[in-house]
Amino acid sequence: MGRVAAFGTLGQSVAAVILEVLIRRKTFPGAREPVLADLAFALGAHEIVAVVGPSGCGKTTLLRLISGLDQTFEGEITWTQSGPRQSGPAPAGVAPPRLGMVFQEPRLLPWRTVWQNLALVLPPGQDAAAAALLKRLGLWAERDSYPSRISLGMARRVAIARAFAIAPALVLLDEPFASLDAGNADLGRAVLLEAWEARPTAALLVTHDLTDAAALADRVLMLAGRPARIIADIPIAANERRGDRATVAQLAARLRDIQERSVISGF
Amino acid sequence: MLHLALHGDLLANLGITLLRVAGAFTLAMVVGSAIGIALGIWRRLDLAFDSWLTVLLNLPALVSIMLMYVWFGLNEPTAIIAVALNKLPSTAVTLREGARTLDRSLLEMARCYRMGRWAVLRHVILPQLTPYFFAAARSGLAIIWKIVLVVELLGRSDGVGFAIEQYFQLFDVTDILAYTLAFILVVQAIEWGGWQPLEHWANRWRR
Repeated sequence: MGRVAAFGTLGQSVAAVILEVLIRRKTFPGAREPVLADLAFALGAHEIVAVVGPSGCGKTTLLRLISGLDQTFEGEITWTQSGPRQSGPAPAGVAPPRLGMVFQEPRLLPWRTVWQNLALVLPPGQDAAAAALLKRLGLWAERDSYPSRISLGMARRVAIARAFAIAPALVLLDEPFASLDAGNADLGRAVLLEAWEARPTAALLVTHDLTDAAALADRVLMLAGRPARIIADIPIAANERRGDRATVAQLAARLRDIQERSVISGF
Repeated sequence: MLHLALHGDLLANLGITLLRVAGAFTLAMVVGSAIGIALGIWRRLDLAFDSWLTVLLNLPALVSIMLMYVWFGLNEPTAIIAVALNKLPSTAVTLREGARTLDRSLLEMARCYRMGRWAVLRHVILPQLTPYFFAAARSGLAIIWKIVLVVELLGRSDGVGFAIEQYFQLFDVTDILAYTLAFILVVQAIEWGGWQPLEHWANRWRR
């Protein structure tokens, strides 16, 4: 595959590529300029990749393309483990793998209990593992509660649990901690890591917050510009990954430096 | 009224009318809801059938009943369909409004998690429509009551409508009022014993 050269470097820990993303152009109907252009990267199994960039630069659009919610773009999104999916509708017989999705809001069904919210999307045979995950995230006691009766923080945890409970090949996270204060965001990140350790999968985390990236990622992709492109692809060294508070703060500061320098030199 | 209930055929007439109400109500709610949800979800369908819905909505009950009787004969199914036809469009319009306000973000979530078509309908769409459904059901029962009586008066030889017409010809106000009162009691019983517990159950997840 000659195209591979077009993709960015992978983090050192990566075992196998599960997803190759190549977006030549994504233009919204009626818009003059594309939102995304010439954007290419690959994602390894069990790798957490943070996509960072200023608000409104097209990060969420990128997630919607990968999730298949939006299928109108020029390019290819290729699942290397279950066959390719071209732009447009998936060809017959090729199913993209299961995806977990964590939205900015919990998006639980309010008229179903915590457990029902999970059970409705679980593939067969995952009940026990899902129950174990709920227990590990401290949600088991609330399994029969309706989402309106639990706190927002807990609802977010349920949404994270749901995404990992389905035994996905990839979890997509769209600014999952954006509306939280610093303390609760810390807690959210801890919950996310807990879920990821319980059920290791690849994860793509879209965020404008460099602390999210520093605390969670194996690799950081920086997006900027109009149309947005990848301005930096930064692997995080093993000894800095998911470190303690001080390490995270230091790493976040360094990422900020890189971001500012790239923006100044490139645009 | 007690006298009528014990010695007259009030109970028999009331029973037969209730059966007609139940039949017409079920028909109107099921078909009307299905049409309304379809129109609310698929815009093209809505554009194609919107004017038909308006025509049907504004067709006088008397006209539709008579046309149905003339075209399909003075029989029981015709009577029930004629009544249902008078409620169906307003159910469809109410449910269409509901379906237009469906929460896109939950539908997206369902799509991401690959929920099946029926699962989406049952767990994502229908629960959002329950308030509209109850609104349609309440007003629907009221309308259907009234129209069933007209249908009975025009083309049936039993039921409350038929009985009232006979008392009318005798200017028997007491018995007309007795029938009316019996009616009101039944409607109240349905409100307290039917809709309210059902609504409470449907809203159990609300804070």
